Amino acid sequence: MLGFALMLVVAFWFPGIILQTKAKMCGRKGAGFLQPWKDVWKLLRKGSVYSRTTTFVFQIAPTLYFSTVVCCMLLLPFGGGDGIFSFSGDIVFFAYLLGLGRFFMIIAALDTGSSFEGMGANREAFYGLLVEPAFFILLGSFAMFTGHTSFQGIYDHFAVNDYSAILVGILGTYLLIQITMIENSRMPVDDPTTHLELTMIHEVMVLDNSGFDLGLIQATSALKFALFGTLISNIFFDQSYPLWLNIVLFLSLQLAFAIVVGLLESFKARNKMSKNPQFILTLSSISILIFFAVLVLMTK
Amino acid sequence: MLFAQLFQGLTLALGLVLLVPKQLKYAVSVGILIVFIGLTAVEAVKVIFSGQVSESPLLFNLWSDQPPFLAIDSLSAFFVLLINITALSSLIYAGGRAKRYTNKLTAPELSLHYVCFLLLYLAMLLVTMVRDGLVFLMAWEVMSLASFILLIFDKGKAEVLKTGLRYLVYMHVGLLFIMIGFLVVQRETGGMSFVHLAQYFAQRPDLGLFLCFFVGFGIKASFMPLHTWAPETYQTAPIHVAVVMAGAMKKMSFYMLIRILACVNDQALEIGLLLVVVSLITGIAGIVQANSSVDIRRKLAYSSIEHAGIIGLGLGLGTIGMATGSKSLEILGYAGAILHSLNHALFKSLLFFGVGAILQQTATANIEKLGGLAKRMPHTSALFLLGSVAVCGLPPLNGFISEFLVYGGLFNTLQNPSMNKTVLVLGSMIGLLLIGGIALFTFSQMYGVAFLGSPRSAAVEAAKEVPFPILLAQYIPAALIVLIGVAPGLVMPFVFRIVATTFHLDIAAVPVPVLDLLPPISVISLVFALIFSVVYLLRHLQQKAVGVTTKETWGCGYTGAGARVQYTSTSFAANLVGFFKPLAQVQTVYKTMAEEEIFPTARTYQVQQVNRLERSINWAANGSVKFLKRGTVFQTGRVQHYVMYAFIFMLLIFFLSFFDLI
Repeated sequence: MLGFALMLVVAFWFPGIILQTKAKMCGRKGAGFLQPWKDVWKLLRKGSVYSRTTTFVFQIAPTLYFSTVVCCMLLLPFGGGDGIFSFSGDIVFFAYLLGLGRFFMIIAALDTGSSFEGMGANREAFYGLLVEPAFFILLGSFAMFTGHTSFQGIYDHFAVNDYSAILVGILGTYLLIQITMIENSRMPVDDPTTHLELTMIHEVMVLDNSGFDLGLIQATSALKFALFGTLISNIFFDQSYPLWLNIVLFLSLQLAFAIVVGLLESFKARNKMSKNPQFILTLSSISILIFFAVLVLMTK
Repeated sequence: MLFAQLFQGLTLALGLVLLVPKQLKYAVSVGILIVFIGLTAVEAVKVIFSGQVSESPLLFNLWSDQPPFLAIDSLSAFFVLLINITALSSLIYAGGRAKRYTNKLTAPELSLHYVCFLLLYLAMLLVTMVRDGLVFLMAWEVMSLASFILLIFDKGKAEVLKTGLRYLVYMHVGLLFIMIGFLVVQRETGGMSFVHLAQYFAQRPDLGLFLCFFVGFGIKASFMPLHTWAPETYQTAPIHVAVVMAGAMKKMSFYMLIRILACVNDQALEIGLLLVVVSLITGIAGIVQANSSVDIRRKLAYSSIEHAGIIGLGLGLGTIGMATGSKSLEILGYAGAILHSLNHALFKSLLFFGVGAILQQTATANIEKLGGLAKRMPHTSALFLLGSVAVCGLPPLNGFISEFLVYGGLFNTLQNPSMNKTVLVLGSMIGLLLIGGIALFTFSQMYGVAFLGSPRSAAVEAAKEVPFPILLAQYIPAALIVLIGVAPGLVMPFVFRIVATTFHLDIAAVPVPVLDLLPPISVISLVFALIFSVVYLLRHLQQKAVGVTTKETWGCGYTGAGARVQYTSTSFAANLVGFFKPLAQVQTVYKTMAEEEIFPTARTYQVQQVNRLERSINWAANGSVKFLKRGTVFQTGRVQHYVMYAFIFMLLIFFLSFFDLI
């Protein structure tokens, strides 16, 4: 319960910190760091315009996408505590639930009958399928390292050994940061600020949404950042720490993560679109390397 | 005890179909099917709940020493129920088309069709219930022949007849291998029953005979490279026949593979590895080719091939678990494979029924001519969406549960890592992930292009919702899909018990508490539904308060957009097909423009799917036919020559036996 509340708190300022970091790197004053959520609040109260071509799929998809991410938040533990739900193998459920959200966003994009959304949907489907193996193999490495197959089990037993845990943790963090950037459609795969359709992926997929639905989608992307940030932060907790230390550690790690995302967005150029599959597959090869590193560590 | 006698006696009721007038033939067939379903389902449910095997002898006794009998153990009961559900929904679907065919066809043609449908159903039931090799082979042959006759339903077209004959040849090649297998068992152990099969595997090395059976059953199960009959066959078959073939008949080969795997002991590791490798190739190549297909039935055919790969992967992992002593991998692998057989039958029937609905309303199966069907066929499109989510293995539906079991087995094997096992786990995991990801790509493409967007041709404009029987046929598997997905705890204990009794395991000895996994999945699925409902309600209230308007889709200021600007199936698949080029086997026919060509001439651009494997098989087959045609010099048509041939043959036999050569 505490973890869920903390994730909501983090999601509240996460996109703002990213925007502020990017602004400071450019020498701009930047929008206030609550601006993204002020936008969401505005959108949640606005009227909507729907395309005549769309069907019930377009109506339910943003709500479904939001619900999948909230459900995934229920699975993650926090700093030695339990997730609200936890069962053996819930890492598989987590990944496939995110896949369900992606499926519905893709078909909602195709529902509009526009070539822009079709393009975004096509790319999202393709890159999503390429990034799944990286994520899963990383989780598999964690499962092999800790001997458990639920998030709670993995994170509870992560900080058992000393140097090997730090090594695996750092490698895992690096990979998770890259995977987060791809799953949330950020640099270098996709640029959220460009609105040149030929170069967009996620932004163009949600082009026709407006009002409450668009507010939900923007809220979901903030929640997704908090979700993946929790995946990273949990690596660095230790059960022996007192609760207040865990909370402070969690919030500062998420802050650091937000700043890192902002820095990556500021200093990395977007990939050439045809190079994206290669880039994403590189992540899979890194995760396989991590897997074998953990295997060697475990069989020694 | 009465079961087999009742079964045999009721078979005579098939004659009723021949006797009644045209209008009643469908109703009588449904009646007979329901009677058989009642008989077998009651028996199967009794077996499942009591755990006892039900055995009853058949009436006719052609074998003096061991009378054949019908035995239903828990594995057979599971497949009996699978066959019953598939056949029932399929015949209900046929009811939606029955009136049209009753008017179009003559009475003998209709009788033949319904009798062959019931014969196919009965033959499949027999396959699951007999324990003797010879009766099994007879039932298998009846299955192939009945499905052949059902397949060539539209026999006015030459294509259909050609496809049917090719199907018949493929099935008989498979039968040949299975027969060789059983004959080898007969020669070594003196009998053809399944008990003798187990004896053979206990005494002799497993791999050779297993390969023989694997090729034979693999043709029907459509493993690669034995799958080349499947795409055209599912394209030409009537939809209710395609459902029974993809849903139930394919599972018969998996049923037999499970029986054989239960007997295998010393070379289980090699067999498991073979199964895993073949299944992964089948799964990935199958679903990639589904992307490049343009006919929606062909897409579903390739998707069936992919799911055969997933079931084979579960079986292979279970066998490897059996060989290495890893109990959790064994149980979870086999349980995942068995449950996936049922899940696949359910969602594949649903998808095929949806495709049949599209065919009936638009008369085209070319996905590039569809679009916007969701507005015109709301029930069908909602149910097809359900089927698509299920086929991709997404929670909270049933496809996820079986894949979850396989993943559970894989993750549990990582607990005590050793180099070989982990490489296997890594390879299987990557394979299964790729299969799932590409399936998501394929079915979002298929659903999005066929049902959503704007209509791409005039054929769609006139489409309406389908009549009630077709809708009912879709709702039956849909209900079961949702039930198994949200409440897997209802089905899983039985599946685990089936694995335990078939493979002689003790469920309590499994280290991982598998049954504890399932209630949380149900709870979280309900929580998911709750969150969705709450947010949707808030959205509904807000939109009612503020107001909603409708306009055209935003087109960046370009108002001349029509249906042609949308993504087509081929363009959606383009980046995936380009990435998996060797597997996708797509050929582009296009003359590129040269640099000096200042005024380009008119051109056509064609993307077509070529099946190079099939081409090489056809080339080999045609070559051998050309060679064998030389033998026609002996067919002179004159009786004198034929009598001479017989005389020469007799002389040959006489001399050979005289000199003790034979």
